[in-house]
This record gives sequence, C-alpha cells and structure tokens, in this order.
Amino acid sequence: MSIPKILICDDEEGVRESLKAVLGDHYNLIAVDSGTTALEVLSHSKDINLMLLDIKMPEINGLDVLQEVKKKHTHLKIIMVTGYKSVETAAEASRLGASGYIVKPFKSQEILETVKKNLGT
Amino acid sequence: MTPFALSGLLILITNLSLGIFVLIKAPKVFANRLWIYFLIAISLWGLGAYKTGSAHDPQSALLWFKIGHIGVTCIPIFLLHFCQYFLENKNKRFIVNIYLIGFLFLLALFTNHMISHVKFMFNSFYYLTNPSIIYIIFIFLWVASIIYNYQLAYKKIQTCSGEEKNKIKYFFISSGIGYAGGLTNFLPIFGINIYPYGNFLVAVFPIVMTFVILKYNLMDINIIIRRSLIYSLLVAIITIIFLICVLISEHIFSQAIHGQNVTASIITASLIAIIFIPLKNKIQDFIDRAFFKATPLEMAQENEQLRKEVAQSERMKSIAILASGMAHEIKNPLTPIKTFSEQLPFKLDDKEFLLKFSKIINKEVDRIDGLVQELLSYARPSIPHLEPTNIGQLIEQTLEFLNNDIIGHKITLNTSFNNKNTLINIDFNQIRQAFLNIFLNAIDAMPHGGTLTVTTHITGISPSKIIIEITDTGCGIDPKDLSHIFDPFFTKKDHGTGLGLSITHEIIKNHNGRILVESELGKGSDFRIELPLQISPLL
Repeated sequence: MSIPKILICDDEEGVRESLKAVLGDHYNLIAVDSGTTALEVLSHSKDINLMLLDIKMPEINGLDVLQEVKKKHTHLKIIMVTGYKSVETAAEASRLGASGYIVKPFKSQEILETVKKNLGT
Repeated sequence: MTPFALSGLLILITNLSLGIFVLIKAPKVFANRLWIYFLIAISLWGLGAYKTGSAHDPQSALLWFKIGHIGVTCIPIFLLHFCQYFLENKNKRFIVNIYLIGFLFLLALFTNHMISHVKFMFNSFYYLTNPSIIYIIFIFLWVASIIYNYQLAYKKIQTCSGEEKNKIKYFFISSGIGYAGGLTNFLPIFGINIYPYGNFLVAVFPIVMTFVILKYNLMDINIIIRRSLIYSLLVAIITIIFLICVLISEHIFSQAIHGQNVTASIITASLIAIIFIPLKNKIQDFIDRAFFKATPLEMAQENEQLRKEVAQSERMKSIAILASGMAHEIKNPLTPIKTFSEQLPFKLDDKEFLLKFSKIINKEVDRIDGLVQELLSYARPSIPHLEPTNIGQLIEQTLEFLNNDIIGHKITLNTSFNNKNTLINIDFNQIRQAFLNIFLNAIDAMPHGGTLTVTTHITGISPSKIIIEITDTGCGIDPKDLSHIFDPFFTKKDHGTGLGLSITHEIIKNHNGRILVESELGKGSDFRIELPLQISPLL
C-alpha cells in the first residue's frame, strides 16, 4: 500500500513547518504558501489524497480555494485549518464541502487523528 | 382652456414650485441639484403641453410640442443620473452614455426626423400622430430607463431596511404615479385614441413627492425645516381663525352691550389672548404627535438614546473584529511554538528540526511582540500633543524618509502644496505616522512603478479645513474590501498586521478630522484626509 500524499496550503511558514514536523514521518507532503500555487499543484498532481487548507490567506482566501478545488476534485478530502473558528465560517466551509476543521494552535495528536480518520488509514 | 392645456399648466406650477422649494432648502447637495434639473425637465414638458394644448394652428403646436419634448428627453437622463446617485450605484461610464444618447435625441428633435407633424385630435388640440422610427426608438429607451430604474430600486430594497427602505420605496411609488400618468401621453401618438387625462397625474406627482420629502427627509431637508414649514402654515391658519373670531365676537359683543365697540374689543382681545397661546400649543403638540410622532423634547431624547445604542453597537462590532483578527495573528505564531514543545522530546537528536524551529520560534516571538506594541498604540493612542506644524514640511519629511522605497519601486513623485507655509495644530509624530502608513500602502500597491501624487489645499470658510490628497496609480482596492480597509487586522498583504490604516483612521479621528477613500481596481486609490485648521482634540 502506497503512502498517502497530503497537500498543505498555508501562507504562514511556522504553520507549514509545524504540519511537516507532525505529519512528515507518516505521509508524503507537499507544502505551498498560497491558494494559487495549491490550485496549480492540484492541476498537475493526480495522486493527492488529502488537503490541509488555511482559511485566512492574503491572495485568495481558503474558502474560495475550497470552492475552486471542489469543482474539479469532488472527492478530494479537505480539512480547513484556521486561527479563528466562527459558526459562520464553519458552516460555510461545511456547505462548500470541507471534511473537517482544525483550530490553531493544534495538538500534534489531534492533527494526526483527524488526518488518519479522513484518509481511512 | 383644454383639459390637456390645463394639465400642462398644473405640471408647470407644481413641479417648478417643488424645484424652488428644494433649491431654497438644500441647494448644495449634488443629488438635490440633479433632482432640480429633473423637475425643470418636467416643468418644460408642462409648459410645452400647456402651449400645445392652447395652440390655434398646427405650426405653433408643433413648435411647442418639440419644446415640450426637450423636457421629455431630459426627464429619463436626469432621473437615471439621480437614481444612480441616490441608490449608490455610481457607474460613470453608464451615466456618460446616457447623456450622450440624450444629446443625440435632442439634436434629432430639431430636425424633422423625430417629430415632423401634428394632427387635430379629440376635437380639441393638435397632437403628434404616426411617429417616426427615431421617435419609436426614443419611446422604447424612455420606457426601458423606467424599468431599469425600478430594477435597481428593487435590488437596493432587498439589501436595506428601516427608514432607508421606506425612502426608496416611497420615492419609487410617487415617481410611479408620475410615470403612469406620463405614459398615457404616448397612447394617442400610437393610434390609441384615449384622451391624455393621465397628464394630470404628472402634476400630482410632485405633491406626493413633497410629502415624501417632508415625511422621510428624502433630500437632506432636515426636520427643523419641516417643522418650521408646518408651524408657519399653522400660524397662518390660526391667524386667519383669530381674525374671523375677532370679527364674530366683536359683532356678538357689540350687539350684547349695545354698540360699545371699545369695551367689546377689549373683552374680545382679552379672551383671545388667553385662548390663543394654549390653543396654538395644543395644536402644535397635536401636529408634533400626528406628523412627527413625538414632541421636539421626546425626539431629542430618542435621538440621544439611539446615538448611545449605535455607539455601543459600533464598540461591540469593533471588539468582535479585533477579537477575530487577534485570534488569527496570535494563534498562527503560537502554532509552531506549541508543535515545537510537543515534538521536542521525540526529536532531541534531530538537528535539522532543532535548527529550523529555533529560527521560526525566534521570529514568531518577535512577531507577537511587535503585534502587541501595535495593538497598544491602536487601543490606547496617546493624547495628541498639539503644536503649530507646517503640514507641507511634515509631508515632505515623511516622503524623504521613504525616498529609498520610492526610488526602489520606480515611482514618480508629484507634490503640490498650496498655502505651503500654513501652520496647523497637530501632533507631529502621530500625523507623521498616519501619513507614513498611507504612503507605505501606496508604495506597496505599485510594485512595478507608478505615480504617487500628494497635494494639499485649504477649503471652506469658518470652519476652514486643510485637505491632503494622496493618489496612487497602483493595483487599487476591490470594491468589496473598500468598506473594511480601516477595520483592525484587515489586510490583503502577504506581510502585514492590518493595523496600519486602523491606526491612521484613529489618529485622524482624534484630530477631529476625517479620512475618505476612493479606489478603482487596477487603476489606483485616492485617500483624502481632511483636518480642521482649528483643532480641539477629542481625547
């Protein structure tokens, strides 16, 4: 069984590195710093199993990226990562097809379990 | 006089009267000027209809029908422009096109291609029949403009509430009365032989509009003027009643006490003097309650209460925005700190991990520290220390400070300071910080070069103010973001806390000034700072 591939999209270097430190030993990771780059990566790589997506990003926000991704990659599981969880954004993310929601600063165990659950591993 | 001529005369009188009323009460508001032009256009149609309906020969009727149509052509132009402004749907290109189309129709009007002849109709007056193609196109666009206006109004009504909704609703209901009447004028032209009695409704429309203006403060004609108008009418009515009372009571008393006019007059005057003031007050009170829903004192109390509620709600909104921004700005750097502390026991031998995270954590701690500093200056801006300052010099010094960035971004700098040596009482450091934030944003908005223009001029007479305009030709601001740029933590930059413009806004507000911004995506932004020349700080 091949190792699942996860796309991390967050404009914060610290958050990207944290996710890499927690998940790096278990999964193949691609980390990008903007929604535009994430969309580019997804258009080329067909073997991505899961995406961890920040909501508040300067260029295109995570909810817009989510909407774009879901148009072409209906079955891709996407977990939103945010610093501020409001009922409205959670509802909006769920409506747009997000599979989960993680609030920063997250616990290593929490992120591992959420990823495992969504990948079914 | 024919009924059609009479309707024209009434249109002329009612529309012109409303136009003069608006002109006298609130002439400086741009929307009101557009409204006055609109009423003049209707009045011109009224004049044309009056003269056409009274004309005894076809030549004279044709000439006045054409003159009336100058007004008819201008009606949709001014109304569309007014509605675009009134509904805050400012599409400049659309407005220019509307004026251009209107101008072409006006040119066509004075050839024989649009209106060429009139025919004696209804055994009463000469009127247009067999319309030309240009006239049909004209009518089509005329009707289309009404539909477009109503569509805009419908959209706007969906997004607003309260008094704003009522204003729009009643404005369009009253203008609908005018349109419904006006449209009947076109029926005989197209062979539907119905006498254009509907033209009377065009005269009724300004009466309804006057009520709407008074009741809903439609054109910034405020309540004091409304009251003064009603009170003036009240005093006039009471005076007439008073005079009638004097005459009747004099007559009764003189009969009762057998012709002693002086005694009768004294008794009458005393009685009326006792009754007049309480009666006037009672009627005023009745009008206050019936028309304005409350007395002036009650309204002042209610306004004060509303002001407090709005201020409280603004504070709560501000706290909510601050909290969500704080959450994002602080939780992001906390994430690697937490991860590091959790992962460290398992990765003590992983040198790469240790080196990477020691750098990241150092950077993130600095970031939180900087954020706290900025937050403090936002939440508790120091009291402005006012001193006479040469504003031109201050701007020049701030721009000099940024010279390297300006050159580095290949930005052309244009400055023009009128009244260069004007001294104004400001806090040098705070205003410098405010300018610095705006200049830095402008520079960031022009990564591939552009033009930064900074101008100052003095405007207004007692109280006069200095206007500082900062214009860039950068990427501009998305219209949906424009209302949020002064919100704390709102940023579209890769690196930035989103506090810069919030701080600028606070500083200008604390100097009793204001800051306005206009921007077009892809074309640039224009920040306008207004500072009073005599400043008493709020803090």
